[in-house]
Amino acid sequence: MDTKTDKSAIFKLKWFALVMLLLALAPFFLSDFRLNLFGKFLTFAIVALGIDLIWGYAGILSLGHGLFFGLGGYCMGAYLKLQAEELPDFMGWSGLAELPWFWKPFHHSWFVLPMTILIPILFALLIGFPTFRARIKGVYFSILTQALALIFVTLFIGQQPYTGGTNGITNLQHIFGFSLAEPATMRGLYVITVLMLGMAYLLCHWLTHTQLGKVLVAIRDGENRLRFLGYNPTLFKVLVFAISAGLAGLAGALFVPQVGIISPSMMGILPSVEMAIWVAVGGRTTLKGAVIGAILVNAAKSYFSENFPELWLYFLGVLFISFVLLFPQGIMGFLQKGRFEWATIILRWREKRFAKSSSPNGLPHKCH
Amino acid sequence: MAVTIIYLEDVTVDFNGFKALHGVNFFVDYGELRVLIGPNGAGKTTLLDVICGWVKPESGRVIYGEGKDINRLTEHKIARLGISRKFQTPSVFINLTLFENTELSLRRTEGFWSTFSSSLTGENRDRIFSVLNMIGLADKAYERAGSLSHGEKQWLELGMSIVQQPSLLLVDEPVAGMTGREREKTGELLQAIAKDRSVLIVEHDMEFVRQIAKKVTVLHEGTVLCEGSMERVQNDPTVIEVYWGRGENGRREC
Amino acid sequence: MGIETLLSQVFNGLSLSSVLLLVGLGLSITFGIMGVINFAHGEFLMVGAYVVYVLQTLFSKLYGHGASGVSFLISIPLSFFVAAFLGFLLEKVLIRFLYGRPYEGILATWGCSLIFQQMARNIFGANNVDVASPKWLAGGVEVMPGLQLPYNRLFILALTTICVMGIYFYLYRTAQGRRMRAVMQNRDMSACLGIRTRKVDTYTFALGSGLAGVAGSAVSLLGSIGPSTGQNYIIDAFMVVVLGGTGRLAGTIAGALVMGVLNPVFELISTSSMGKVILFILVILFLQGKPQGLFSLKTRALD
Repeated sequence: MDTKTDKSAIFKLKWFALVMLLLALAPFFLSDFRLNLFGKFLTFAIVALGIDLIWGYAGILSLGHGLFFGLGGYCMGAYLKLQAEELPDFMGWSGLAELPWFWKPFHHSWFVLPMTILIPILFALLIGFPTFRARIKGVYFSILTQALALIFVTLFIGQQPYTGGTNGITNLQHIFGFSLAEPATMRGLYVITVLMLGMAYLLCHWLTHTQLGKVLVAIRDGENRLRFLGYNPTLFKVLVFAISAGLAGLAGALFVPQVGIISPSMMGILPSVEMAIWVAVGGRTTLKGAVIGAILVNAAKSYFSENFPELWLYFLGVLFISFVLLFPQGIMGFLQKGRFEWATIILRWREKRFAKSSSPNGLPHKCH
Repeated sequence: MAVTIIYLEDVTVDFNGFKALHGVNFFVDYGELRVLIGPNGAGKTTLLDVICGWVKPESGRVIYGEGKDINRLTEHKIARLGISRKFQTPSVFINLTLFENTELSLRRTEGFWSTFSSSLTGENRDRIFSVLNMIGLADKAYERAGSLSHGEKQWLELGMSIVQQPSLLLVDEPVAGMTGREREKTGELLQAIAKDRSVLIVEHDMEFVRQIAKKVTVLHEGTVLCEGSMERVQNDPTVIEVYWGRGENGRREC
Repeated sequence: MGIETLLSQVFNGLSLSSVLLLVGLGLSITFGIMGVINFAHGEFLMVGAYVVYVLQTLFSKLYGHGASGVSFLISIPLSFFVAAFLGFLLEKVLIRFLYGRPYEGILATWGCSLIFQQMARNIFGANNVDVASPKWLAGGVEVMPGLQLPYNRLFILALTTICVMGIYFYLYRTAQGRRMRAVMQNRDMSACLGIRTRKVDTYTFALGSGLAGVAGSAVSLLGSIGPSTGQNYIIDAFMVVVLGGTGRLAGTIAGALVMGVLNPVFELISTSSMGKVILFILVILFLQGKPQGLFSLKTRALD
């Protein structure tokens, strides 16, 4: 048993290495525009990994992950803004003469880079601990996280002098001295994104293959039963919520330099729910599914918004409904089921052939 | 003289005005196998719920072992003290294998950080298999628990309790919905389990109670009505009135 | 800040409470009975509001502008029936596949909500439209200097009171309401007793949707309406359900009062965006003590 699982783990990692290699080679195949787009999709895939961890494994649907993505993005946005301007333009427009004190640390990359992950984690702890401790679960938790996303959008829009209001932090042009308009910078950012996605994947792979993966599944299937085995589900739920928030923050930070802007519209309710649908489309409880789902849905989104912008929301709506009704296990679930069915078809066919070839009169053998 | 492992002192539980337990005084000794009987609504399951922390009493104290008050502790903390609970309806983790279910239970006893490792010591593997052997499901170790029959799930759940080596095991209606052969096996299993620890069983099935019980406590309308050997309880006039009087063979699950 | 300002905010809050109550009632009943939180529920409110708009446009074309008073009165029941009919259809084609699958329910009904909003955009345009309040609702009662209670908000309060009394009567005094409560409490047992639970589900869902439609007609009195009108109320209505617990009339009423009144009051004492943050924190703190909502019953079920 052990050797078998070890073998399959190595086998899986071989595939992982191959996919990573292909992703890293993408700059040679794709135009700069497509590469930039694809880089964006890969940041979304990082978010999807985190959502898969908490929803697919632990069975907790958060509809507020846009917030964590946005927090990571705003951290990065603030840093990039301060690289270019002593006092961000929107502060000047709102009549601020001096940089507010909480903006000052965002001058330093050593502060910003960890904060893009730590601030979302901190917020996840602040929200997660009281709600999970009070045993709020299921749709109640989903509703609270959604309300949270809405509240932060309202807050960020309302605090225009400090956040840039509805427009957000715009006109970001440099990162570490490189121009964001340069294709070479974009390629560099793309490669970093691929690396981060790989690390995020390995982290989630490791987490789900330790005992923790089983604890999460147990939380999904019978949280209260787990209490009577001596586990404290609150602890694990807060933990996995924080990890997935951290991944979303990382994704946000990688996203911002690739698009040059961060605004409240990227952290609101609609993006948050879209994040859940990426995972639903790809297939819950498979990490591969989450990555594939995020890429496919966003590819479809950019196809629609390039060609039929009016239809995108209809398509998205239909996508939500059809996947829930027709493919509740997502693409990966469908493929796995398909593989099983193919295997049975082939087996039956071979049985028939065997029966034919071994009994000359074409009748199956009878037992005597 | 035996020492008390669990002691309920004047415990009252109120469900929106309905007193499920009304000033109950109750204790179980170390190493004892005790059976709780009583008509429906007598408060038997509630009593187990109170001990394991699922229901918090309005008043009274619950003392565990050498005077530890577990009244205000959460369920997982009570479980870590060595009180294990098996519920009436099977509640195993259907998406995990039997091995994983048992492993999950065993690994908790090794603390939080054990959760972040995937390797399993040979000793633990042996412990898991010895438990799976004990409940007779070792050959299904790598099947999903969801594929088990009702009776098998109940045994697996007992196995998940035993592997933690609890000092006190609370069992709610272990043979409800089981066939005759399964009842027999469950009875043997419970008696084997009870060799090393205290076991408190709630049961409706009188034949089964006669098979396993040494000492029986009768609950009625949230109070302790009578306590003693099966024989004594059966001949107690008040018990006969509230309980046996209702039918020749006692009450059974319908 | 004078006491008049605070009182007038409280009064404004009461009309917000009324709308949230009508929307929240439907959400809470359908969640209680079929375990599906309908994320497209806000769009029934939007439909109700557009019914008022369409009817008003129609009437003013046919009978001139003076007819808005009459058209509004007609549009209230019409909003109910149009929204209820749409709810009936939605239950038949989608919701019934989602029973007891709350997360899938969220995603699928959210998809519906997107489609409804986009349809509204295509039919009525992306911009908000104005609904003229009927003349007989112009002005208000002056209770004290500086504090005027507008008639249209008083009307909303009255409308909600009538609806809630109607619902109470329906749930607790009619045979059909009793069946509905029975299904809510124990679906299998109800089915065994010969209640056609499927039928009860459909009518419950239609009823809840219809109430949201009525809320929509009330909302049309408060300001302009547009494709995202439903979205403006739905999150607060969800919070009403979280606060009030499911399937309990008193809980929903209390939750709606809290959310409706505290929202404008907190906005008054801080800024409008900070007010929401404070309210959210209070809700979380409150749930520490009562995680099942205001009027929950103790249960002993494991899950």
